[in-house]
Amino acid sequence: MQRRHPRADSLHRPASILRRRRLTRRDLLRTSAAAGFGIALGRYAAGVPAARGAAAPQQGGTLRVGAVADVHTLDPHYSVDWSERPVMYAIYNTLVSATPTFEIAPELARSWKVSPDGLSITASLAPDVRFHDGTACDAAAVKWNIDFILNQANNSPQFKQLQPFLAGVDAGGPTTVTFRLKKPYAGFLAAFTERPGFIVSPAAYQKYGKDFGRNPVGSGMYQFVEWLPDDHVAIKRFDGYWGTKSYLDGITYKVVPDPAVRDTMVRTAELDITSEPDPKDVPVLQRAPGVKVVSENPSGHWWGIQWRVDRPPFNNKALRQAIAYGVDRDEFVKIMLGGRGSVANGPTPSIVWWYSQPARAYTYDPERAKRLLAEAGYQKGFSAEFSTDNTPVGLQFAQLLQAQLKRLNITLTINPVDPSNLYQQVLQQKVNWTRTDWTLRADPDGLLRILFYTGNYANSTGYSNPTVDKLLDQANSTYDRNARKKLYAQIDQQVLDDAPYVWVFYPSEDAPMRTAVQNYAWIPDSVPRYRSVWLTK
Amino acid sequence: MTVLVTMAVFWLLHGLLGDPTLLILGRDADPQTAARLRHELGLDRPLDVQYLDWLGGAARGDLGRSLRTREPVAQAIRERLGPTAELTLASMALAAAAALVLGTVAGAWYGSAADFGVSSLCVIGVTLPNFLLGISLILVFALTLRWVPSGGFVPLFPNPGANLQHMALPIVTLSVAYVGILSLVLKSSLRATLGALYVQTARAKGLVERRVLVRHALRNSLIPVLSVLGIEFGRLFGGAVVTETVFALPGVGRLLVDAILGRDFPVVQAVVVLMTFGVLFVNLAVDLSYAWLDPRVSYG
Repeated sequence: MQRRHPRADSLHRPASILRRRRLTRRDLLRTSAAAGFGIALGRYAAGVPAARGAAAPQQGGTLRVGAVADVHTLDPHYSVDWSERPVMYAIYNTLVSATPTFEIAPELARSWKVSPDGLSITASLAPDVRFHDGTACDAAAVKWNIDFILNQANNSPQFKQLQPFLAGVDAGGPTTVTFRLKKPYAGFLAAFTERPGFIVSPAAYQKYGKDFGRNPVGSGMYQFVEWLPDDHVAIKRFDGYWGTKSYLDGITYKVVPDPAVRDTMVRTAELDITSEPDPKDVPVLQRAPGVKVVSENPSGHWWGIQWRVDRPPFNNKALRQAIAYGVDRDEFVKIMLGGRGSVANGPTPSIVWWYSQPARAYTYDPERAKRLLAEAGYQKGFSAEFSTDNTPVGLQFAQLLQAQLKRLNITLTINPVDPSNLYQQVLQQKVNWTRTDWTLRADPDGLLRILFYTGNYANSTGYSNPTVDKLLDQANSTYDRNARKKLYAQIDQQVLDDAPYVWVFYPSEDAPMRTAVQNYAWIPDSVPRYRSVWLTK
Repeated sequence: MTVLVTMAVFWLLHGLLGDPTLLILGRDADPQTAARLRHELGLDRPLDVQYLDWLGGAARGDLGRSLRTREPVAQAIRERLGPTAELTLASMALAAAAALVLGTVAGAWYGSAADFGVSSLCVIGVTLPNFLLGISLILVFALTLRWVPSGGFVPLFPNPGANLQHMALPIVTLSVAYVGILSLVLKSSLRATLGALYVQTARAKGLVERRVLVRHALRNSLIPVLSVLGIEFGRLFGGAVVTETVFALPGVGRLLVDAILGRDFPVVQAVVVLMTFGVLFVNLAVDLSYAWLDPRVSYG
């Protein structure tokens, strides 16, 4: 999972259009039945969902996208920045893709089979796929990519995602790849919907070496044209694409860091679409002629607070629960988000397949909070430092929390920290109580394990609960999704009760665009793909 | 001087900002990979060794590779130098030209309504934040009047017309504060010069007022203005960072901010060296111009 830069404008993401096109679980099961365990989701073939109900798609035009930040590399094996992923999803294919409910759908891998012992997965690749440089995107190329990531000497940031469960990969023929697992791992395929799943051209990689990130070659529906740093990235339709070809002639990702300027450029038709608008601009954009705002609520991106549960004063469960009851989530959504978001109660939003309504959740209850404070030994309240990123939204979050907890006689001193330094200070335990936000991964194990498993490298709260550890291990070692869903419901409930985090809200995601932009689809990982988009003339 | 600056920057960056490996690998990086990368980048060596290594490379013209993008630092700077050079030099030229007119009017007609008007505008210009002015200009000239684009950059060659359209608002935005400062300095300086004995002598000789003003008073009044111009050049670069961000210009300022936030030490170091050279060069040019403006100054 990637943490996005905490900006006011990073609080949004589109909904209703998406829901009309959403792939249901029923669809999924129906198609799965035809291929044994393997799945063949034709509508998501190569990542272009078919438009439903709307006018027939039109061909042509260049989509001008207002990008929040520049890319630093277009080499997926070394990519960590969120801003790089929208471009990479256009240039590359992933082995498999994720649907709007985080189901796994075929992409390069058209179907797959798990061995009876759960220790190997054999995938059948699409035949006759070519990279933009004309070389074959086959089993050997897939093996080369996975081996590159697994080679520790290459220092790929993607290593950590594959190494814990993947022992190796074998090419059994031009279109057959077998993955050898160290142990049965249900989240296996989900990892290949993300960065580890992008397949680059090995020939181009060897040709360009360290400069591949500026000369990317994939097998996706668009091919790279140019990248002018801090200005734009341009890509054009790849006519030799193996799957459903793009409707657009090309896409230009224009870097415009200031949200107010991006919003203005959509209004002046200098841009066709952007993301992360200034929340203050959203009502203006909704009224502007020729502009629409497509929103998704809730998103797969939660905001909350965290603390060290192994250090005083927050090693006191009653105190943590008191604060959880003392946070008025509705007020956060109303004041901070202007109503553009949903309250969060737990690490899982309702939009993904593993969500279950928690039996016990926190509601704003100051009386109960005061009782719990007294039980925790803080009947007169207490003072503590709260660290937050020094962005306008980070500070706004802290100030609202400060005002709410004052009602419980808890005095917060706000410690603003540079956003790029905050997480490091958390890891180094220089700060205890902080604001945080995380975005979901395509498999529940991805985020829940790194945050809650005892001693995990991203478990920055010091949380340790043997029951949760056991449940996490059980849940990722079975391929039965219904069984997994029940186990994740128990995990969500347990961490909600233990409160290593207090989940506050899921900001909605908003995408302002010209009315000419059609069929915009998105996934709960907050990464716009633009694969299905077409423009009316 | 440059060595001292790089030394200070190096220690400040490493001391205050800390380890870049988590930003390179992502915040969920596993500790073993982070440690290996730290070793490969040489970040686990003592700071003085790292500094001397960098200095040795820089002296040979090798500024290294960016930690984040892996591209050569010199290339990263070269690609972004055009917009920044155009923005800062054009802003400085525009500010100097506008200040020459406004400061002369305010100084020559000291205490008049014109002086009051010019001085008030100058004070507003100095106090108006760059980003606010930039956004306001976009709303008026790009959104409402649709005369110019809201942002972006087109190279000067081969398309000077489109370049001017894109650069007009950023140049005006960046120059406004400097018009204010330079005009106020020129006004005070001209006011003092006009009271000097040699100006009275010139008038007594019967010279027309325009010749007294332009030939005798103004030229001698420019020395403090030029001094301020040199000193303010560093600040102009700071203003360029904000202006580039508002107008989405792919310049060195944005590269620097991005590199600081990403702990990209080689890039930060190189840009700081470049800025230091820029400020030193402009101040040297200013010092040399004193002799041209005032015959009493000589460097013999």
